[in-house]
Amino acid sequence: MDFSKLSIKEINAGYKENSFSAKDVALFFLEEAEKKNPEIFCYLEFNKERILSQAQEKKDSILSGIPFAIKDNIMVQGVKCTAGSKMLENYVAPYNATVVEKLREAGAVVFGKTNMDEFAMGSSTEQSSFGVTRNPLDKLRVPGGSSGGSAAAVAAGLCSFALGSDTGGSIRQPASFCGVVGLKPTYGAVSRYGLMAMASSLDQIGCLTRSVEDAEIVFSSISGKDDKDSTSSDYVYSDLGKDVKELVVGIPQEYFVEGIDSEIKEAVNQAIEKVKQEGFKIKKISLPHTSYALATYYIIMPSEVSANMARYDGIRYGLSRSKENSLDNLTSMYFENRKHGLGTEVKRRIVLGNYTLSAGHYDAYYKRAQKVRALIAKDFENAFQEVDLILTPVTPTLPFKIGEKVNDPLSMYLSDAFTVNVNLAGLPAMSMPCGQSDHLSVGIQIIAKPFRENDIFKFGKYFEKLWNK
Amino acid sequence: MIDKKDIEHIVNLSRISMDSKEKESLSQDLSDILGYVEKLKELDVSQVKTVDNLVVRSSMTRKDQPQKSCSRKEIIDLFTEKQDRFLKVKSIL
Repeated sequence: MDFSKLSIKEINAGYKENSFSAKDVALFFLEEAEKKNPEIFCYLEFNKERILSQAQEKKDSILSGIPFAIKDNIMVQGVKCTAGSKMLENYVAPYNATVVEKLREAGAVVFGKTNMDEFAMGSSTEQSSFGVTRNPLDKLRVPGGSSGGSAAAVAAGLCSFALGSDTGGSIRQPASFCGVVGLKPTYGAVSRYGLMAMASSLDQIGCLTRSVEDAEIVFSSISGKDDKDSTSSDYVYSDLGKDVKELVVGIPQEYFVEGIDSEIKEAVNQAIEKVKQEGFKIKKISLPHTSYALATYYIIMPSEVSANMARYDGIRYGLSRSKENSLDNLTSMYFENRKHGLGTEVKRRIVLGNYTLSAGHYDAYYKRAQKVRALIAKDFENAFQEVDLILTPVTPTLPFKIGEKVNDPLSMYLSDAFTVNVNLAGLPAMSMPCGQSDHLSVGIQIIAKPFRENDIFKFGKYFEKLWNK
Repeated sequence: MIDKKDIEHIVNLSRISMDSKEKESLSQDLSDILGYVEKLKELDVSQVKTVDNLVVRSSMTRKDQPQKSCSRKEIIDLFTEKQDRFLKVKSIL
């Protein structure tokens, strides 16, 4: 039986009816991963012994016995957590992230750790220190990033669902590239305890799944207040609210301008046409500061990165070069450890962030960017006076070829143009497939008001089949 | 282009050792990126108020009570250099 075709609910029903066991499911995914991972390289780690032992537990939850993959910047106690970096090549996590704790309590099975751009900095998973992940839909192309390993693991059928993190599109863009569903929850809806911080005012943990229903199940079990994350909100997910047909949909003109591939424009416009045909109320809206979002993001994000990355000095943990050289003071050790432990893109962002935060440049860059951020958030607030959901493309381009953009940081950054806005405003958004271009998938982004993931799920479930006929 | 002195200063603040070739290529990348973000200067933001935590809707600290956490041994095992239960570092000065 091909368990990669079954939803979480279907697997759970199979367990209840004794049609198959959690061990059967675990063995199926193990065999698939052993066969396909050498080529796709979505997993940095999967451990048979752990998987089979966890699959024996039985819990009274829909997630009991469901194998899931975890981006390698989220900690699982006793398992290596590298964040795709040489700096943490041998780092073993001393505790569980809260999301992992919650899923383990529900009986879900930690299947493996997925490849990613180093410390989540990248849009293609080519910036991993351990190798390139391939897109299961076209192996010459990138899976997107930085949660590229998680997206590829779901798309290739090597787990039931996966966790990722999204700072500027790192769940939604790879989900779109690989043809799966990717949810970036509201800032504060899911605890980030145990996630390696990249840019703290933007980072959010979310999930990558094969269906909207699966995304809802995972989100409802990982969300909520956590004492260990002071930014997490007191919030309990409920699927109540407006009837799906009452949801008013906004289309922002600024997302359909030059620089977007014609294939994407066409597929997204067709998807919007179907929304019209179904009798939904659609309004043209304007988010006037959209074109400033990427520039704002590329000041705020590196600024926060430069502060968060300061902890990786190879002293309390991580890569140490103390045995390789004879340097005799602490400061020179920092320089040496960071030179060898961190990759080009990470160094680039640390230096950029230190520049935009430094005396003499702070007002011109960081402070100005914070103000523009407030304008971008206000745009959304105004739009949500009139509409419940906003539909946009996820990315300006289809998945690019491996190697195509890796030496051109600015061109790589542009692939985040439609996703960073959402993080700047702290909103929830989901990417889901809405059409095809040859063998590749095209995604659509559904943005909602804060803590209205329920509207996203309702709308997504309604159109899931209609869009992908 | 960012001048050489600026790059030296910022790389030093970043605590990363780099050779001159790396610095040169980094300086080019930074100039490109900073050139791109120049576009924010088009906007008049003189009237915009910033809030420190734009997206943080709750910021509650928990009660200061001891909780279960990872063991001292697990933390000490991660030290890159140690002597008994102490973290060992090179001389500070």
